[in-house]
Amino acid sequence: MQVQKELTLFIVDDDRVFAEALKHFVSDIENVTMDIHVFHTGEECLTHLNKSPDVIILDYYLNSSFPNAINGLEVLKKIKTEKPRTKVFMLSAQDNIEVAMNAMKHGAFDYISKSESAMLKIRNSIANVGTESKAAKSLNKKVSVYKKLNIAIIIVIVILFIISRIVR
Amino acid sequence: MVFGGQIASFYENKKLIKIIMETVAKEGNRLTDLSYLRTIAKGSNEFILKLINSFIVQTKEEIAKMQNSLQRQDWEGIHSTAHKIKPSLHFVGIADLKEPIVELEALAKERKDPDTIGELVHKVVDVCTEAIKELQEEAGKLKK
Repeated sequence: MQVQKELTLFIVDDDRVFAEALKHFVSDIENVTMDIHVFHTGEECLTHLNKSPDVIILDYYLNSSFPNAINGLEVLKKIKTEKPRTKVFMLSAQDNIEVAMNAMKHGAFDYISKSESAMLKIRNSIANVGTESKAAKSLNKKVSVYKKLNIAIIIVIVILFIISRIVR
Repeated sequence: MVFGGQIASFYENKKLIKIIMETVAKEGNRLTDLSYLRTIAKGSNEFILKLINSFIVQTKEEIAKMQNSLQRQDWEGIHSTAHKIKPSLHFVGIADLKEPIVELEALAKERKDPDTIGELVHKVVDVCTEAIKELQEEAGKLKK
């Protein structure tokens, strides 16, 4: 039996058509329960980072509707400072090696061009992250249990040691 | 009289053929193709309607911006708008703009050849305006 995985996903794109289409297309990935949030500016995304997203799909050019809005690269830098473990997939409407290199240099997990196959690539990437994310969460849980167990054993030993001294 | 009748019939047939040809041409040369959108929709007409509506609202805003930028010779504004609408044109299958929008984006970025930029902006505006009409009809059919 497959375990249902949980994933918090942010889609950050000022192109409402693309953002809505992507939300719909990735919402039914097998064995992944998705909590999807769509933001049309980087500023909105940054104010919701307390939701600890596992994955962020971030458009590179975010200032076409709002010229003073911060662009995707600035948003990426802030995300990586606040949430270094969040996987950020940078999107752009053009295949530009400079944009891709810049994004990767600043911590993007991958760069995806908004080509005809973009939807499928993003869906597959999220599905893979979903598997990794669940495995990581499961591992963290086990580590946490072992840590608690170690502390309990140390406390018991200390108590026994104190009791033995008192009895003497 | 018989001869005159044949001429009348010939002209009527010609007119009829012309109407048929125009209708076929019109049907065959649609500006939009929703097959990609249907694939993404995975059977949800509600989603197709939602996306068509979003496309119409967004594209109307963007083409107005583009015309405004052209009037002000704001090449960066044209570049930015062309860049933004490029992916969404693919969703509703506007193949006629596939190359022009890329060319427009590139020319506006480099701020060169204002005449061609002007022609391309007009083409984008005209095609999008017609495409929106088609999509409104399509949305009407889906609502039924």
